[in-house]
Amino acid sequence: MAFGKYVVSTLCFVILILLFFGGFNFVVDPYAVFNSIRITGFNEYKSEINNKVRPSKIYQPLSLSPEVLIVGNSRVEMGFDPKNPCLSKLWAGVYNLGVPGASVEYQAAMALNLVYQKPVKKILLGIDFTDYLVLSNKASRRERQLPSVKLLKYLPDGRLNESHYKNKLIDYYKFIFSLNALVDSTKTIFRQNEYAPTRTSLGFNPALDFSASTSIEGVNSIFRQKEHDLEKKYSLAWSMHYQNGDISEDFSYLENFLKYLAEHQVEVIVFTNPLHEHFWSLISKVNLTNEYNHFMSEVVSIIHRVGGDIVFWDFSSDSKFIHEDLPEPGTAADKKGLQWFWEPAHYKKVLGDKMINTMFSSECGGQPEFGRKIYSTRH
Amino acid sequence: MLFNSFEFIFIFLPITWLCYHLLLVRGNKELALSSLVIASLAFYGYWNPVYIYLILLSMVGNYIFGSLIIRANRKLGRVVFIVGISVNLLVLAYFKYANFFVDNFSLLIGKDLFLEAIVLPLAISFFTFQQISYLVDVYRGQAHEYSFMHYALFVCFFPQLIAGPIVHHKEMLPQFMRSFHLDDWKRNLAIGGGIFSIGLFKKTVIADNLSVYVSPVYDAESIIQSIDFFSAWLSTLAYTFQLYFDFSGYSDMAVGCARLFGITLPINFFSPYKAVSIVDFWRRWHITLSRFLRDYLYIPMGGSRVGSIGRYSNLFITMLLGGLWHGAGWNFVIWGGLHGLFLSANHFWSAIIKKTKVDFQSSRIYLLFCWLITFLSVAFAWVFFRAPSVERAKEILLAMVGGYGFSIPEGLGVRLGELGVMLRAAGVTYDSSSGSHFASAVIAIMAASFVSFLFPNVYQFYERFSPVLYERNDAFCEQRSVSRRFLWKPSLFNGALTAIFFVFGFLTLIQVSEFLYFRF
Repeated sequence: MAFGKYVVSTLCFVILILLFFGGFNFVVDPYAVFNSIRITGFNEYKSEINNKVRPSKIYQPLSLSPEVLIVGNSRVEMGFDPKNPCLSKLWAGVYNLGVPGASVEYQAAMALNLVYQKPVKKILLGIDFTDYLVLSNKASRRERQLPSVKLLKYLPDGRLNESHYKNKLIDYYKFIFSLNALVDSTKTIFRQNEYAPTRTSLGFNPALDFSASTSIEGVNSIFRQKEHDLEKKYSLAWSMHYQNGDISEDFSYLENFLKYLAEHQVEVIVFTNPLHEHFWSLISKVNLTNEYNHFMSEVVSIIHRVGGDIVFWDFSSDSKFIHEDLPEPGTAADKKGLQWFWEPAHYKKVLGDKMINTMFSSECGGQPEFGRKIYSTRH
Repeated sequence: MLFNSFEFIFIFLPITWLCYHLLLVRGNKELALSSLVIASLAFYGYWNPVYIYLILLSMVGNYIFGSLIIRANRKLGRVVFIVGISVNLLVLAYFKYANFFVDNFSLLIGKDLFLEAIVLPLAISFFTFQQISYLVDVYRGQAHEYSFMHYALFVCFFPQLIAGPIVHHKEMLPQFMRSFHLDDWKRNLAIGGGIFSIGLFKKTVIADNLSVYVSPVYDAESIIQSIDFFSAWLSTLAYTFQLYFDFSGYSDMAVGCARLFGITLPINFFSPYKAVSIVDFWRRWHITLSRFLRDYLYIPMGGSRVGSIGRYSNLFITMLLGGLWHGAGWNFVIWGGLHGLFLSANHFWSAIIKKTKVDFQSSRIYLLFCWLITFLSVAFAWVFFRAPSVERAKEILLAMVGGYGFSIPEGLGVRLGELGVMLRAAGVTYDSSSGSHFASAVIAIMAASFVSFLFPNVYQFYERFSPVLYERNDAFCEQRSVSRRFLWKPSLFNGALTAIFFVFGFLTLIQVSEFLYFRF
């Protein structure tokens, strides 16, 4: 073969292979950002999405028109299914915007970005007192506003983020023309099974990977690992206050968030997430029970100050569901897991359904089984 | 500008290539070479324009020193030579070692001396060594006087400027002076583009993906709580391969780039992890640095002509200084010292074998043992090379011999079934680290080992087209060991393969990462 012909054919191969890989990534859509068609056995489960949940939750809902947003961290992401019959009956579109590990300010920024773009009428906001803890040995709070999250189209105060289009272009390029995307697309099509981690097209995390880990390692092992991590984390000097007496800035972020929502006539239901008794034992062991009580009263004060249309429900306190005993290690029940919890800090969808039934019992006719309404600004 | 960046691949390189070839078409070779000098200075100045002054000053100064030595009588020539070498070493010492010496001197005298941190200009070690070798050869009467433009291109030719290969004037300048065949551009594009693509793949796909298994151990704030036998070995092996694929990938890209302009660079790596002795390793690893240290340090010190003790101490000093060349830190000194000891032990062992006259050296089991001990010694020494401090290196080495126990992720342990039970019985504990990270590290290291230990290198595949310059025609016994039918030739299959390498490299451009050897 002549060298000239070789050079031309190599260039053609480069273009063809590049187009093929780009098309492949778009069709497989491993991070669920393009909302490409989900084909059973091919790309239904997004097994590699766990490290890309944030961009996914920024871009995925853009092609939807949610009326209701479920906002919070990984607990609501795994507990609240937008396809819940009651939610589906009441609203045309529900999207789960829960993001694992997201701070209060990040959750607020993500939600407000959608409020400014979509016809959002209601927000279900799951809160956890652990998100509001600060290290008490730090001198004072950080003075800053809600973050200008660079990928969002709108900043929390409603201004357009001018770098959004450039960042979106770069992100889309990465999702199509990057080796990471290609590897993740390939893994996605090879990991189409009922134990793959995934997110539904409405942002819900069915926690299939937790189910897999439980069936292999047993729920005792999962609890043990998680409790070890939690104890390590919460053994530090956590508090709601800094050394100089300032309260955690996360309360300001919550208050600002609720104010913005009130200004846009968005109804809000704030609720605390249920936690297993092992978690509460740990909280008691590391002397954080008073901090929890302080957190609850602070949230009530904020809701009182903000006004608007806000209801506050508490599901974290004592109930029959949180006392579920762990089975004997190594037994079939151990591999099956608990009925209501994946591990001490994450409840299952079945418990989330009960919370929905409680909060919307009058609209859907369900029977409240646990939880209590603490405060309501409704007249 | 990095080789693995959009601006280099899609802007700088095509423009430079087009200008160069258009000038060649117009029949002006000297102007074409001048365009390469200008492009190289722009390439260097892209990081920090101020450094252009430094490299220009260095080139002009050394060119003048060289011219003076050629013209002066022997006595004056000697003075100019000493001044020239001293200026080069002083400049290098100032930028690279001043902080190190001041810090250590402070410790020694117990006083707090302070010297503002001096920023190390990129590639200063490389272009200083190239010019020292030129001055030495001029003084020895082994170099001619060249035109300044040719000399400048020898020093700053952009493919080899930042991280080598450390080129020698004898192999570069004759190439600039010969006549260029314009018809060769398609052949050069095919060969250079292919070698560049493979280098890009090695760096961005293999080396960068290995780095994620290195940092958690080597760069963590504190590792005592988390490190154990397995994590220490996995991270060290990952670094062993990361460094090889990173640096040899860079060298391949440099060789490929130079070939696009019809220039052939010297070989810098020849499958070093296949070496069956430390002596063999240094013949294959960073070959142009080893050659420099041998010709301009080891041999002038007396080399092997000064008896066994003298030879071993020369080797040790050479490697100690070689270590210090890599960076101003005790870690590098220890790393160099270790290799000096390894080399001495290697020569000592060879001498014993020679005396015993027992012929077992060609036995496969013996060779396998030699290969294994060589590889493990090299990996062991890399701990000092990579660790941010001597203390961290000691912690990692202690973990590698089981000093911090044996532990595997619980998620992985329970999946091992009976084997997991046996491991626990043997004292292996379970921890809460990620099982998938552990498993993927093992797979990545195995894949990298497979390529490094069993695959021929890129130059063996391209052997038919003389891709690099060797010191001797038979420098390596396996140089021509690839069967003729696997040798590279222009074909649709090879075109598709090259395209795959390039596209994989292209897909990583969005996640640009620096080359490890840039810091030297």
